[in-house]
Amino acid sequence: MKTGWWKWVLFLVLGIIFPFIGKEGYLTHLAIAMLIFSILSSSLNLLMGYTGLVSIAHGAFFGIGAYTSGILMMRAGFPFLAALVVATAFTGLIALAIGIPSFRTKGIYYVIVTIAFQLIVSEIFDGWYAMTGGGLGLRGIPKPGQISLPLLGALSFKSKVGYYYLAFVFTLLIHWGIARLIKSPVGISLMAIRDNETKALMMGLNPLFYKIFVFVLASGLAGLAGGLYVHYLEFAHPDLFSFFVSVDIFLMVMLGGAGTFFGPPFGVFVLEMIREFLHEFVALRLFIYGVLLVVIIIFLPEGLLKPLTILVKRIVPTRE
Amino acid sequence: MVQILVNGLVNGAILALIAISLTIIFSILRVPHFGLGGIFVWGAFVAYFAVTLWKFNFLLAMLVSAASMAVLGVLIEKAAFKRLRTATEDAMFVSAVGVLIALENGALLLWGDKTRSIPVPQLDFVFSIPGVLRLPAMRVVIFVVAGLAIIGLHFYVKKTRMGKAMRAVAQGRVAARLLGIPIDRVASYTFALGSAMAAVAGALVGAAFTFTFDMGSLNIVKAFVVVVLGGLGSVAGAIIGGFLLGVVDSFTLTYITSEYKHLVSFSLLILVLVLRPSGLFGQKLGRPQ
Repeated sequence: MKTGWWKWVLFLVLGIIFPFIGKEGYLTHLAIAMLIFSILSSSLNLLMGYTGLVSIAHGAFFGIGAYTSGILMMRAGFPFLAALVVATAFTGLIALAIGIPSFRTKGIYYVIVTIAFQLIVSEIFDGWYAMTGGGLGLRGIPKPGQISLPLLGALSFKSKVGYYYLAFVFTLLIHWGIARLIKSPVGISLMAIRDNETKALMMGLNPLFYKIFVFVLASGLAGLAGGLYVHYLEFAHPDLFSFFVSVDIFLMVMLGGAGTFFGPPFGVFVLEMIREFLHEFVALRLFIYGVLLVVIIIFLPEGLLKPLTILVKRIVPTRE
Repeated sequence: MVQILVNGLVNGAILALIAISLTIIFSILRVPHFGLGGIFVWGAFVAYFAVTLWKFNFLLAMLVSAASMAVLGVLIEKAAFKRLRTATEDAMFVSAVGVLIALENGALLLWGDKTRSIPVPQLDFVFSIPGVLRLPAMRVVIFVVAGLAIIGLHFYVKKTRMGKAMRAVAQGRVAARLLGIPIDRVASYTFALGSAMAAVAGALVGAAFTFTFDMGSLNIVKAFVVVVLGGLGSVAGAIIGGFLLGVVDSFTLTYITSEYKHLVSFSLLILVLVLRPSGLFGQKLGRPQ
C-alpha cells in the first residue's frame, strides 16, 4: 500500500467533496447505495477472491444484519450504534453456526450449501410475519439521530448528506481494515489456502480455522452493511435480501475482478450504472446480468478492472 | 392420506425427470448445469404455444418442445460451456447460473409474467375414488411419460454406440479422448438429451398445473436436492430421490407448515451434503473432491 497512498487520498478528497455536488438529491442517494454495496462486495471478495470460497449467501447475511438491527432499534429501543454492533455480531454468530458444518463440503457442493442457506433465510424473512412483517416489509425503522462535531457543529443523519458521511466513514474504515488484513500474515495465509489447500496444510496452517474466520468476518461485515442500509431506507423487505441480491453482489465481485482490492468497488459502480439506465426494465437488466455472468467467466475471469488499467497504461504511458 | 401420497408421487415424477437430466449432464461432463431450470421453463412455453397457437395435440406439442429445447441445449453448450471444459466446476457453475438467469428473464421479456396453463381438453377428466382419491388424467400422463422417458434413456445409454461413448467419457475423459471418442459430439448429444428431458418435464408441469417464467430456479434447486439425496451420478438414485422428496414435500405442506414449504427440503440438502456427501443411496465414496 506504500506506493498506492495517493489513491486513498484521492478517494478521501472525492468522498468528502461529493455531497457538495450531490446535495440532498438523487446522486447522493445513489452514492450511499454504492458505498454500502462496496462494503458488501469487498467483504465477499475476502471470501471469493482471497480465500477461493464462492458464496451465494451474502444477500442472506446482509438481510440478517438488516432485520436484526432494524428490529432491535424499533422493538427493543436500542440506540443506533448498539443495534448496529449487536446486528454485526449476531450475523457473525449465524455465520459461525453455518460455517462450521458447511466447510466439510468443498467446491461446488459448498456453493450449493450457500444457495440452500440463502433460500432458507429468504423464506424465513418472508414467512416469519410477526417478526419481519413478511411480504409487507418492515416499515418505520428509525434513522440515527445526530452528533455534534467539533468545529463543524451538529451533523444530522436524518439528511441524505449526513447519512452519506456516516456510510462514507464506515466504508472507508472497513476498506482500510481489509487492505491491512490482506497484507497481514493472516491475509497471506488465506491466499495460500486459496492457491493450494493441501500445501497450506502441509506448511502448518489450519485451513479450517482460517476459512471459518474469514467467513465469519465477511458475513459480519455484510450484516453491518445491512444495518447501514435499512436505517437509511427506513424499510426492510425480503426482496432486498433475496437470492438475486446475492447474485448481484457476486456479479459485482466477478465484474470488478475477484482477488483485486479495487476491483469489487469498481464492479459496484458498473453494475449500479447498468441498474440506473435500465431500472424500468427489470427483465432486460436481469437478462443482461445472466449473459454478463457467462461472458465474464469465459472471457474475463480476472474482471474488468485489470484489462482496463492495462489499456489505460498503454494509452497514457507513466514513468516507472 | 392417500391423496397426499399420490400428489407427492406426481410431483416426485417431475422432480425425478429434471434430476435425471441434471445428473446425466453432470456425471458425463462434470457440468453442474443449473441452466436446465431455464430450459424447463422454455419447454413449458414452447409446448404452450404449440397447443394454443398452432393447435397441435399435446403429445405432439411435447415432442416439438423436446426437439427445440434439445437444439437450444446444444447451442447453450457451445456458447457457455465448451470453452470452460478444462475450467473448475465453480466456473462452470457460475456460467450455468448465468444461463439460468438469462433464460428465465428472456422468457419474461418475450412472454410476460402471466400465469399460464396448457389446455388439454382430451385429458380433462378425473379418476376418483370418492373420499379417498381424486386423480386428474393429466397426472396419470405424467407418470406414463416420465416412465417412458426414463426407460428410453436407459436403453439409449446402455445399448447405443453414442450411449457407450457417453459412459466412456463419464469414466475418464482423457482416456476416452485417447481412444478417439469425439468429446465435442458426445457433449452435444448429452446436452441435447438432458435438455429434451427437462423440456418434457416443463411441458408436463405446464399441462398438469400452471406455470410462470420463474418456476425454473426453484425446481432446479429442488432437482439438485434430489440428485444429492440419490447420490451424484446415479440415475436410479435420482428416481428414488425424486419420489422421496416429492412425498416429503407433500406431507410437509399438509401437516407441518405451508409458510416455510421449502425449508424442509433445503435443510435436508444441507444436512445430506454435510453428513453424507455420497447421497442416501450412493456408494460410500468418501468426500467428493
